[in-house]
Amino acid sequence: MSRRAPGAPNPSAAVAALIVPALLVSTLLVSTLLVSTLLAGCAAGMYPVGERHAETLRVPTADGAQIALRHFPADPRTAPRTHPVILCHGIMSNTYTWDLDDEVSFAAWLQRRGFAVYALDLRGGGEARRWGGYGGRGYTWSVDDYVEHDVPAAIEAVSARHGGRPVHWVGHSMGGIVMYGWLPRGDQRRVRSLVAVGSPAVLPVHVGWLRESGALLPLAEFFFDELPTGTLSLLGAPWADQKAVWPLHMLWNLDNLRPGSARRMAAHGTANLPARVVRQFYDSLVAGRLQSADGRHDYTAAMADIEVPTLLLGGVLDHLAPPASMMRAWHALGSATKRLVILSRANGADADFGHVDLTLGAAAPRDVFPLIHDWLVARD
Amino acid sequence: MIDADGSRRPPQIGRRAALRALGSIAAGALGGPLGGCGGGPVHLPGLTGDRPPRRIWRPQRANGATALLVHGLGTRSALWDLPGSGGLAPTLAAAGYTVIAPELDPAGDWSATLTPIAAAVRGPLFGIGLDLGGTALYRCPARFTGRIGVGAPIASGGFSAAVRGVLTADGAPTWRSFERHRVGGRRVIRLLLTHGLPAKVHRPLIRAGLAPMPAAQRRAWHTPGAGSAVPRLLPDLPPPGPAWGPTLVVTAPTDGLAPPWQCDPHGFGADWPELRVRTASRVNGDGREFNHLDLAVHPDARRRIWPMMIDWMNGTLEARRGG
Repeated sequence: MSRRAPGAPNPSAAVAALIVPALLVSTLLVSTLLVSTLLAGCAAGMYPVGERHAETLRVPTADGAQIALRHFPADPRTAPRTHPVILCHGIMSNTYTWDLDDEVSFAAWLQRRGFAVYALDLRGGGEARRWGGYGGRGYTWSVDDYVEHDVPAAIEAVSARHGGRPVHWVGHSMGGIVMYGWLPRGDQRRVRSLVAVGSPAVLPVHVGWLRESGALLPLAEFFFDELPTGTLSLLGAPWADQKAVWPLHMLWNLDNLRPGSARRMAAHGTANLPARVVRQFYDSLVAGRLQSADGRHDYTAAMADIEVPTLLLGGVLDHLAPPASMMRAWHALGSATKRLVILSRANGADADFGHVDLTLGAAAPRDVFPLIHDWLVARD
Repeated sequence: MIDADGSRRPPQIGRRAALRALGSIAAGALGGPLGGCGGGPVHLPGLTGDRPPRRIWRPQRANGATALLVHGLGTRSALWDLPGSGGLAPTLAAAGYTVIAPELDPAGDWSATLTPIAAAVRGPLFGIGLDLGGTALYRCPARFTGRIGVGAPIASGGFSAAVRGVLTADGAPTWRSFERHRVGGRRVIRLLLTHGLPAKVHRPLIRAGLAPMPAAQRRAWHTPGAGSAVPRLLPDLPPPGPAWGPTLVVTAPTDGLAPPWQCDPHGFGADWPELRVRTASRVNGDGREFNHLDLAVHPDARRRIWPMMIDWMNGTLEARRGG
C-alpha cells in the first residue's frame, strides 16, 4: 500500500468534491422536472377547455411536415354560406386562439351562422405537434416554411372539400402575416377575402424591453432549437392573470378577459417556438420590415401586390400589433378594398382591446365577431 | 367641499398647499417666480414685451438650457404647475432648465406666436408641447435642440365619434362642458381627457387649467382628415423625418383625443435616428394606462413620464455638447 506524501492532494476527496455537487445538481434537475411535469399536468387539468369541433384533418405539407385542421361544420339549421373559412393562429399559439371554451369560441360562433370553419394548427402547434415529423428537419423551421408550405396545404385541403371554392382566411397576429407573405407569391384567386386581426406590417418598437431582450436571443439559440415557451406558459398558467406581472400586458388587456380565460389560454393555447422563428421576427423588428429568414425577401414591400379584399382589426392596447403598425399594414396593402378598424372604448367598443383578447376577450363576441362576420358575408 | 355622504364641510388647507401659498407670496414680493415656486410675467434678457403672457421659472442651478412649454387646445399654461400634480414646469426648473410657458391665444396662430419666443432664447432650447401645442412646435421653423410632443397629433382623420363631436361642436366649448356630455353612455371627459385624476389635481385643473376651444382651431385639425377612417398627415406640417432633428414623441395607447396612430411618425413610415417614441403604458412598467391630460398632470406621470423626458433632454444636451 502506497502512502500519500504529506500535502499531496487526496484523490478520493477530489472525486467526492466533484461527485457530491454533481449528484446534488442532478437531483435538483430531476426533481424540478418531476415537479414541473406534475404542475403542468395539474395546470392542464385545472383549466379545462372542452372540445367543440367535429373532426380533425391531418394534412401533409409539400416538405413532409404535418398540419392539423379542426373542422367545425356549418350548422345545418342555418342558411349555408358559399365559402369555407380558415382560422389561423399566431406565433406561439394554436387553435385555442379561436376556440377556447364554450363561452368564447369564434369558430363555434361562426359555425352557428352558416359557415364551414376550419381552425388551422400550423406545424408544431396544437394537434399538429402530436404528429411531429416536421419533414425530418427537427424544430428548425422559420416563418417562411409556414408561408411556403403550411398555408398552401391548408388552402388546398379545405378548398378541395368544398368543390374547389376559394376560402376566406382569418388570421390572428402571425396568422395574418403568413397570408401577407403568401398572397403576393400565390394564386390570389384561391382566397376570397382576408381578415387580419392584430397582424402588423412592421413589428413594434415601442415596447423597450422587448427590443432589449433580443440580446438574450443568441444565448437561447445556443441552447435550444425549440424554445420551451409553451411549457413555461403552462407552468405559469396559475399566474397568467396577475396584473402586477407587467410584461403580461403585452399579451392581453386583462380587464377584457373573463375570469379564467387567461389561465386556460396559458395552459392550453400556447406552443413551443422554434428559435429560428423568433430570430426571424427579431431581425424583422430591427430591420423595420417583415422579411424572410435570410433577409432577402421583403414581405412588407410585397404587400403592395396583394389584391384580395382585406379587413384589418387592431386593438388600441395591442402592444404586439399597435395601431400605428396596423396603419402601416393598411398603407402597405395594394388591395382596392381594405378597411382598418381600431377597437377601443373611444371608438365605441365595449373595451380597450389588447392582442389576444381580440379573439378571446369578454367583449369580442359583441365588438369583434360581428365585424368579421359582416365582412365575410358581404364578400361571400 | 362635499363628502361621500353628501354633507358639506369647510375646505381644509394642507401643509403642502400652505407652503406653496407662502412660496407664491414670496415670489410675488421678489418680482417673479423663484426656484420653481410659481409662475408670473417676468422678462428675460433678449425676450421683451408681455405678449403673449408667459410664466417663467428660473432654476436655482441652471444648466444653460431652456424649456418652452406649450399648452394644448382647451388648456392654459397653468396646466404646467397645477397644485397637486407636482407641475412639469417646476420639475424642469429643479432639473436645471429655465422654463417659459406662454399663454397662447386659443384663436391665434400658435406657430407664428412661438417663433419669436424661440428665436429670442439664447442657448439650447427644448420645446415641449401638449396636444396641438406639440403640433405647433413641430410646425415652428425655429431651431430647437429637441422637441417633445406629448399626445401631439401629426395627423388628421381616424377620429372616434367622441372626438368628432368635440371637433365639430358649435361655439367655443370647454372641457368642463364635456364633463356633462356623453357618447355611447360614457362621459366624454373620461373617453378623451383623463382616466381619473385625484381630486387635488382635478379641482385646480377645472378651476384654472382649462380654456375654450374656438371652432377655427378645432376645424384646422379636423378638416384635412374629415371622412377618412385612417389618419392622414397634416398637410401644413413639415414631413416627419431627419429635418425634425431630435424628437421625443410621448404617446399613450388609451389617449382618446390623440391616440398613437395620430401621433407616432412610425405609423406613416417615418423613422430617423434621432426619433424616439415613448409609449406610456402598463406594458412599459408605468403601472397604469394614461389618457390625454393624464400625461401632463397626473401624479403618476410625474413619477414615470417626466423623469424619462428629462433624461432624454439631458442626453440630447450632452450629445450636443459633445459629452
